[in-house]
Amino acid sequence: MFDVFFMVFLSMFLEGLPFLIIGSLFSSFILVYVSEERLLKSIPHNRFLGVLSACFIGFVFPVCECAIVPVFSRLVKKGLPLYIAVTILVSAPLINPIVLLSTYYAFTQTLGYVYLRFIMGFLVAYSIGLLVPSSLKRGDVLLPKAHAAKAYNCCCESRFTDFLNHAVNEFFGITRFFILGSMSASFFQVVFPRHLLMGLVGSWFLSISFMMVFTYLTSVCSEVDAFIARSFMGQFTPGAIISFLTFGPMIDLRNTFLHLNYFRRKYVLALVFLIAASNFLVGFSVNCLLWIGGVYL
Amino acid sequence: MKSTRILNACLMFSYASIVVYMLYTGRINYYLHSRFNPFLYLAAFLLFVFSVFTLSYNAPDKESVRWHYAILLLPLASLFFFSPESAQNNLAAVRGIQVSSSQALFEDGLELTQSPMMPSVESVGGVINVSDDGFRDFVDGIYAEYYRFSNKRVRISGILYKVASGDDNQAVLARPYIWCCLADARLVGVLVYSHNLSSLTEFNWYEVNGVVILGETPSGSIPLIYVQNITAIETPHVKYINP
Repeated sequence: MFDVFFMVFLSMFLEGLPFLIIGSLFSSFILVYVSEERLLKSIPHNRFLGVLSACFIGFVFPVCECAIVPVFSRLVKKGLPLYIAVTILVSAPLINPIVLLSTYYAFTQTLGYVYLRFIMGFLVAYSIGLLVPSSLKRGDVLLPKAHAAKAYNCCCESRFTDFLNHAVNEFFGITRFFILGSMSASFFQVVFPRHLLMGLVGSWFLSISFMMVFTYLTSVCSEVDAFIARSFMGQFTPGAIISFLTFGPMIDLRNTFLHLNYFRRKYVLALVFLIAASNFLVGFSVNCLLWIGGVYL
Repeated sequence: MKSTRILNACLMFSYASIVVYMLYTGRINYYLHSRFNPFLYLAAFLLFVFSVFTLSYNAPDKESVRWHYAILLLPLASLFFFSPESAQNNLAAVRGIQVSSSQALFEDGLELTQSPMMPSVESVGGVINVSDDGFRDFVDGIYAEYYRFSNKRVRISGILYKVASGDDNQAVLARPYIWCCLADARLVGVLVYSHNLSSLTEFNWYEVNGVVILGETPSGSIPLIYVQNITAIETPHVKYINP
């Protein structure tokens, strides 16, 4: 079992490595080349419209949950309103063409799950965007060291060398957290007593909770989690499967470690709770709606 | 801090070298689906650029924490100390073996209630050669549309797993699949039945020639291959199948 643990860890690390580098480059690009004024000008002033447009950013910027965290933290440091940045954080890894396609392949025979994943994912992302208080400032959520590093001061010979220098620093900053997250996730992947918990699946409450805990702890990539979710069809309620599909890309154990590198613990806990509560509600609503409508997926 | 820069550059160079080595030797397929290969080439290239940049450019000092390097070295250490081959053998114990897209597992204790009978020679017809790529379609097919495969001869290869059924005459012939990375790897297989399975070595590769029939278990009928001939084969170059 020990060797499986390390192999799973290594596969998660190798899978995420390119996206960590891409995320670091994007983050550094935003720091060096995008001014705060330009960033703030690019978002609609109306909060409802701003959150709505942020929900679909994944279609132009289809990033996975590993790459989004450094980008998200950089956007916050740059002064993007937190509610917009959080909407991008939760929507981009879920509402994007790659995830759409993989979900379609996984649920070809039950397309209801594909529609529900994206409709419910959108509703959750939009609601979370509206729920984040607009009064919350970056200083309230960022760790002091991260907050102090928000401003860009040219320290190298040129902007390009600055860009590379920051990308390397960003890469080292997040990789160690990513490694810790991958190790924890592979631990739960290998030792999680999945079969023992199958007895919990009868109740709506427990089945949704179990699926959410499972996706959080195992931290499977959003590109492929639909294939895992499919393996639970027939054993868990449709609402539990939808919660699995919407919750995992928004936050997982591996990402929580990455968040802790930039943000205050209190804020990270609040974010995890908010995302979890919204997704639980989604799963419960799906079960209620299907039960009332007498629909079987 | 020159030593920190050298350490960082060496680390990134090692990551890049390992990625290139794994891509070159094909060992990467033990860990990841092949669609990630272009991303890994890009990652290796960027890591080389980063390491050259870090060495050549005298960047402003950055506070470094030594114990972080212990964490950063973990992926390299695990590559040297653990073999993907042994992980593959233990995958069945960790994940179980799935039968088709219905995703049911061969649970411990799955036992045939009566010994299956080889169908009469006259009733056996047609030969199906199952390729690597066709393995899952075949396994899916015999569960979803058994009537299409009933009493057909089949030639199929895979890894032999002895299910804990207490019956030495039954085993599972399975292939490992990776949809994305090893974290979502699954073994997909088909039950095989023969009177001489106990002498075979678990986790080795075998080619089975047999006939598709139905066996009876306490939970109902299950398609299986009644083995006519089973031979050990060499381990193929690519063991995991990327659907």
